[in-house]
Amino acid sequence: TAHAKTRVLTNCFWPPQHYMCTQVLPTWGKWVKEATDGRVTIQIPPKSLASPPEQWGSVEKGIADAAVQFNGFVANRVTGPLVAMNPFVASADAPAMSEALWDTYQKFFADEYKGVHALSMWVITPAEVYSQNDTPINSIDDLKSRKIWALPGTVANLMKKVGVGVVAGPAVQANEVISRGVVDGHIGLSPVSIAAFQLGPYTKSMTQFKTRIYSTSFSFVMNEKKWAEISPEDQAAITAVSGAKFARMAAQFWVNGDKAALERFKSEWNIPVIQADEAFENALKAESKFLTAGWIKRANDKGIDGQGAYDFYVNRVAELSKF
Amino acid sequence: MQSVARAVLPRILSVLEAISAILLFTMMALTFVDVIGRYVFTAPVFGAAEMIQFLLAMTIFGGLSLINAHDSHITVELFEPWLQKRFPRLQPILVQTFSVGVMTIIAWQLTVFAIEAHEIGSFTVVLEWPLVVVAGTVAGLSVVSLIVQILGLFLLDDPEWRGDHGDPL
Amino acid sequence: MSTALIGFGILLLLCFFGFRVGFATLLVGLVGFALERGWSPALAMTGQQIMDDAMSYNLSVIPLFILMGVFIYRADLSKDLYTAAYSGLGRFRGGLALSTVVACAGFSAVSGSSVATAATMTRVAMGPMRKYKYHDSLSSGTIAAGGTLGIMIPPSVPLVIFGIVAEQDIGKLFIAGVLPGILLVALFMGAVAVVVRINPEAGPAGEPLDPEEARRAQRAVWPVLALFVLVLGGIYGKVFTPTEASGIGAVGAAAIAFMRGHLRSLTEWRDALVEATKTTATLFIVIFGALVFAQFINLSGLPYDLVDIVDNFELSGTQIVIFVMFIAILMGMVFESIGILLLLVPVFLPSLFAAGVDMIWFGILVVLVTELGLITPPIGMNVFVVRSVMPDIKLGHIFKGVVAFIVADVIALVLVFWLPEIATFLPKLME
Ligand code: NA
Ligand code: NA
Repeated sequence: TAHAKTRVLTNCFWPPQHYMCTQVLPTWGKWVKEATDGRVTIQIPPKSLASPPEQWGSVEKGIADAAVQFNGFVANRVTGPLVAMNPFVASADAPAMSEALWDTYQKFFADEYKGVHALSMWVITPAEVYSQNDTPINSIDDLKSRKIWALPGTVANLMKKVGVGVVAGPAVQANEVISRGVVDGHIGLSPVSIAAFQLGPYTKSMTQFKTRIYSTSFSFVMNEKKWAEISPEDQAAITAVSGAKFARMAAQFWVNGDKAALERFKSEWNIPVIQADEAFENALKAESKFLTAGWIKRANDKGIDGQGAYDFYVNRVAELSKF
Repeated sequence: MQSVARAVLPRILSVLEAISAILLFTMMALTFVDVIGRYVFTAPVFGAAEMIQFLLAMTIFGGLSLINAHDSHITVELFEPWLQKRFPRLQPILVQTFSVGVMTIIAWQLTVFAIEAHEIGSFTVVLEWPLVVVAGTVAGLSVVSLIVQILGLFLLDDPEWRGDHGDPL
Repeated sequence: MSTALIGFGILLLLCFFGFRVGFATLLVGLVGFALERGWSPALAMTGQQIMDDAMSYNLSVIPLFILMGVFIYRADLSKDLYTAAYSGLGRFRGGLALSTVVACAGFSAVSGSSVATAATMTRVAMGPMRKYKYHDSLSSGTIAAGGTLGIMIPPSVPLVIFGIVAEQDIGKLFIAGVLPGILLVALFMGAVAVVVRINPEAGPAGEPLDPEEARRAQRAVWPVLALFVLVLGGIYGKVFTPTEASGIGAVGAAAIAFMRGHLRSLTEWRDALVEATKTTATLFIVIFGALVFAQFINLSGLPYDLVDIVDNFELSGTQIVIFVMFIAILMGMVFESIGILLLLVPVFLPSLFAAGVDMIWFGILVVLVTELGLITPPIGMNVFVVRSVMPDIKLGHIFKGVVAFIVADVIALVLVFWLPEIATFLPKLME
């Protein structure tokens, strides 16, 4: 075709050495280049062009052409993708959750992404519950007696509801709080993040629920005008290597990361993994109902079939999950 | 205009000084109370870190108004004395126009940021306060910084008024 | 790559012609970014970047450490620190200069600023040194150089800024500064010894001190030591974050000032707080400018081009570090420390990472180089500070006086370069 070459400036807000910047986005770039016979290429700047909460905004304004947005920061813009961030909908199989989210997006809230083009969305490995003293966390009462660092949003709100003393903050500040003994437990990080934030030495045990307490979802979005510059033929080619394919590829990095981290739990830090009592899990689930109801209401207000999307996502995750 | 500036500016600045002093003091006190609360009473201040972040932004722009008014910004005084001798009128005009121009861009874009935060309905991450409250205050202080900077231009010929050039540690 | 270099060229010119450093850097960055991405993205990026950095938790240590320095400055400690040092060293040849170095080190341990250290020490130490007929070049040179200890011995604002630009742990950087700081004190004392050996008239010995006076002054050392141990120990033991340490440090400094009869009125508090706010703002406008400029550099491709150059020529980490040091020394001739850190480090960050350079070590090296910049001609901030307090000294005399200390600085640089453990040993113990 007569179309000129298009270069997509793709931002990566993680630290430059993170696999998102060194592997996931470059792999997608390779796929895009191959699928479009080199007509579309990507460029990743050496350092992030905007802070994590501002990724979507910076794509909208053309600061970058494409970027990844943690959906928790854009709850004011989109509600749909937060279905995956409801309490107790997660499994350990992040690629399965990712595909389920992409399917739910296409079926229930494809109209919600305004001002940007949604390339993909994915879910990372779930958060677990960690104790920082010798007693593993395995009951509501025990939880209540502690000070807990929690990821803002779902987890922090659930803990506040239960009556726990909460120190909340962005994941990147977790080390500041957790390593200094400010709290005696933390909730919101997956094992790979424990390793990445060097929290192994400060963590004594991990409690795992059958249905995981929480997971995090991301949107991969592109500037609408930039997307329109690309020929329909190349758009189709890019779509084929984005969506669920990209989502699974990205999520797999977290699965691999978790695996490696859990090895270090055993060999390096001596952190036992404990299965949660059913009573504990059920009690927390019951406490968390208000959060799910809140999400469904917000989705309904946005014109999304909230209950339908929630049920579809939960079933799809169960269907696709292999572990 | 010079007499107006001479009459008005010191009063505005004394209010701004008081505001900046209170902001920085609060920042110090909050950090201290949070640490003591944590170790002595096992009761940290929820969202202390985020409040400190907001106080920082406000302190900076409160302080910026004070240094803008006296033009006590950091400079590299390499050719400046030489230039000032050769172009005693032109050099300061160019430099000051430049400073005011850039400050206008800053105040304008911070205002745009605050308006957008309001339109999108952004909330702060931990405390879940409306972002516009914080961003709006910061933008407001940046506009004030611009206004006192322009007022200060009328007094810059007065060596008593003019500040030192920067205190870069 | 060429756009970035043109950008740097224009920026230097603007700065040399007297345009305010922060505003000039911001505008060049904005225009450069706009040429790559368009005007409205560039403007939006500027607003985002400023709002973001103004609200950065990590950067909040800066005003609090500045405030700590202001309180300490107002506590009038410098005279007692000087007298205490004099009681031990005064009777040696060059003893007053040696005392000055030690007192500077003590002041540096509770203040993050080299300017404050130099200014306060000029007021305290020039008088006695003149009384004993010290040559002005030795006394003023000692103070100008001793002042630079302020940014190597923790707490240090430049180390904080390096930590933020290079995404390194500020606590580790502070701990890393301890041994090089001690090394510098030793080398500066050596420099004094060499000068008075060559020219004994430059610094005669002082008279012994009245023991009562000495004891009184020595008592002032304890609160300083206690505050240093509290702040650094708290960071080292991970009892609190650097931001919290700065808050504790500021409160502690205020307490010391109060105990010594200062900060007893609202006006005094207000003056101190306003002074710290102003210094904070002066600094942040440069930081904002540099971060906008860094986004232009980020898009210009220069950092990746440098990575390619490193690859193509198979340069080692040490070779890049030497190259960066060389540029930093050149920049240090005219720029103050913060400008160098903010402009230079982001450009080389990817290639330094690619070459596997230890960034804590590198941070200490860069700060050593910027210390050098504070006393080298034509523009040496600390030399100017000493001069502004003592206008009757000729600038040339001070620059002549700092030569021995420049040599000492270079020796320190070479030592830390060849023996990275001087910087990395203590922070490694933290892990
Ligand atoms: Na210091
Ligand atoms: Na210099």
